[in-house]
Amino acid sequence: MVQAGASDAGRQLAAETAEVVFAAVARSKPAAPFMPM
Amino acid sequence: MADHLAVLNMPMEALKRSATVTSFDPLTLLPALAMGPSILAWSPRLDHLRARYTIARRFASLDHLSDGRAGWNLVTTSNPDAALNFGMDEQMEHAERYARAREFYDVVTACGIHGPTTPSSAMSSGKLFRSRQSSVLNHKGRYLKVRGPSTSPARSRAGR
Repeated sequence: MVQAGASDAGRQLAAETAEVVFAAVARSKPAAPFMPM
Repeated sequence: MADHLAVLNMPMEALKRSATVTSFDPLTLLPALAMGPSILAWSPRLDHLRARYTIARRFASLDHLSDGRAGWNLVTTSNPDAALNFGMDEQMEHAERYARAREFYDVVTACGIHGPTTPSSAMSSGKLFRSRQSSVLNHKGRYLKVRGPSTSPARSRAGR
């Protein structure tokens, strides 16, 4: 399961199902929410 | 490979120069491409209004034909005009498209028959699948009602 797209619904779907997430964030602070806890 | 279920709402002069205007049906095209040896990533964006049991079944078969190289976009198209080609008056909202995708995921990943791991194990045991009872899903959700199990053969590792 590969997810791309940064909408709230898309990120929720990724959190529940994805093994790979594409994220396009240039700075580390806004990228943090995409990182594993 | 993008699938297009309706001509995009663009200015005609732009459309005339857009490769999006024509689009093979992916489930006709992909099995032909699967015969090639290339490493390919396929992600046709299939519409929710095609029967999703059929989508899952065809991709489970394609998973075998392509040796695990098949995939599809779980969330239906955002093109508002696509709904008009499938018996609907308007496209669903974003949140609903994702809610449907989530339920679709649950059904697709739970619906398979679990077959023998190898043809030789089927030969030695005389049994073509391990368990039927545990594969009956009996899913009744907001958007989908699928009893299962799928008649598609056991999936590759990539096909979960």
